[in-house]
Amino acid sequence: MAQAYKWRSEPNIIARMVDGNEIKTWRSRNITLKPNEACVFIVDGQIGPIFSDRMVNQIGGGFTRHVANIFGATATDRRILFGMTGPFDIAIPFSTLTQRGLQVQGHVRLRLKLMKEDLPKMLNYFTNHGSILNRLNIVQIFKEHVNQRLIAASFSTCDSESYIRSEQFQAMFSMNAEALMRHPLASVGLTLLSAYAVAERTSSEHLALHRVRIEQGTEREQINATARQKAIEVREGIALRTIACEVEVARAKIRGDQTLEVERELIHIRALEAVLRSEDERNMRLMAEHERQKATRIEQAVAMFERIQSAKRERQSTN
Amino acid sequence: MVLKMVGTPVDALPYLRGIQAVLAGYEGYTKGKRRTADRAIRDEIIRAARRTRAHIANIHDAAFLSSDLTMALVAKQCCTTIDGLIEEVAKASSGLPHSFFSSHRAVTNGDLKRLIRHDHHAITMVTKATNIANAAERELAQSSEEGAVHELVQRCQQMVTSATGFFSERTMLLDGLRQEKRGI
Repeated sequence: MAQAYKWRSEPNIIARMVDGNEIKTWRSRNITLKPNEACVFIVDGQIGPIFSDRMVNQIGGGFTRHVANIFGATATDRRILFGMTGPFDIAIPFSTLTQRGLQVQGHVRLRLKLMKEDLPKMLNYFTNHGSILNRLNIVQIFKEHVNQRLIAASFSTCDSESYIRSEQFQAMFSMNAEALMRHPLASVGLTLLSAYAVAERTSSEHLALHRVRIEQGTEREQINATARQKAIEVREGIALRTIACEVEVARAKIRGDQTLEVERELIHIRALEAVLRSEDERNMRLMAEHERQKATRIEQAVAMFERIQSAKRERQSTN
Repeated sequence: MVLKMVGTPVDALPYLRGIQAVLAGYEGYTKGKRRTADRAIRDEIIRAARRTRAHIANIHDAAFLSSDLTMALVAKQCCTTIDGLIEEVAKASSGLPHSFFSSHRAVTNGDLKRLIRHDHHAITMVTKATNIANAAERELAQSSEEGAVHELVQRCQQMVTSATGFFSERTMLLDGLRQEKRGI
């Protein structure tokens, strides 16, 4: 049964040179190259075709090579160069000074790509380095170049922090990187897709940030104090209003009590008045009756007197 | 499912000849060579795109070093567009697993004709972009009108954008092959 061979054990590995003798086996050994992987065989110093997006059978030679090797009929040097052809990012740290002596730290973000056709150029790296090329190796190779050629040149023309943060600077930086980095990168088969600088906060920006924070803090305190003052004023107004209302209520209550008392007195007086009036009327009626009776008695007395007088006169006349 | 043997359609022969002019060994999607043909077409498009990118990159460098930032920006944008095309073509779908568009329904002459014609048009478009880029670099070298180079680079970018869009139709063609014909 065929064994599957894996050339990449971690995602940071970009390329790897494998000695064919290390994976030589009489058993069949296959590798499946994904669309973003490529490999090229270098047999006896000659670069062979580049494979990608397919399964490569008998990568280690298999049984036929095993037999041929016994008879000395195979290539003496057989290497396989694998590469990851998808775009990948690397970050190269930098620390530099601007035109005005301001220190800027950060990192340059480079998006690179290994074109399938450029895979054999990776040999330039593996000639003088180990058998694995990872992102860190790429950073180490180009760190000095980026810092001296690209960073120093780009930041030396900056006269303010605002320019560093501007789109114009990033565009200039990108174009500068394109012009200065293409050939060094091409020497190891890499293509620069994009580049931009990520500058950390400078000391001036830290100071400005601190100033802004202090100002904002002061302003916040001012706003809080104003709000608290307004709250106190509102509470004070509410308390005063409450007191005023209570006073008004008390007054109203007092006024209400006095009215009730007066009304009660008035009712009493009116009742008394009514009683007195009725008594007065009764007295008047009694007096009138008394007068009427008196007048009646007088009239009766006068009539009686008249009768007596008339009787007296009759008697005299008769006498 | 049985795969019908389909020969190269006669109607597609002019296109086939056209592709063979730039891609020796291309025989259309004949049986047994379909995956190879697909790979060859895509490699050719990528190769032409890389040539275009190299020309535009030269223009970019020249413009940037002579402080013509407007020109350099336009060239940079064109390079980015070309990178997009390369990535699109390199990572495009190439049919089904196992043999090339083998399983779901039989390939007809019409399918092959459409594919070959599409390949021809796609390669023609990218080649045109390469020619325009080449012309732009030549114009720059001859120090002719400033606007001429600018215009050529923008035309190149437009052509590459069109090629990217046009190439994506290929996926639709292949998708069409994957779908079963449904009975009405």
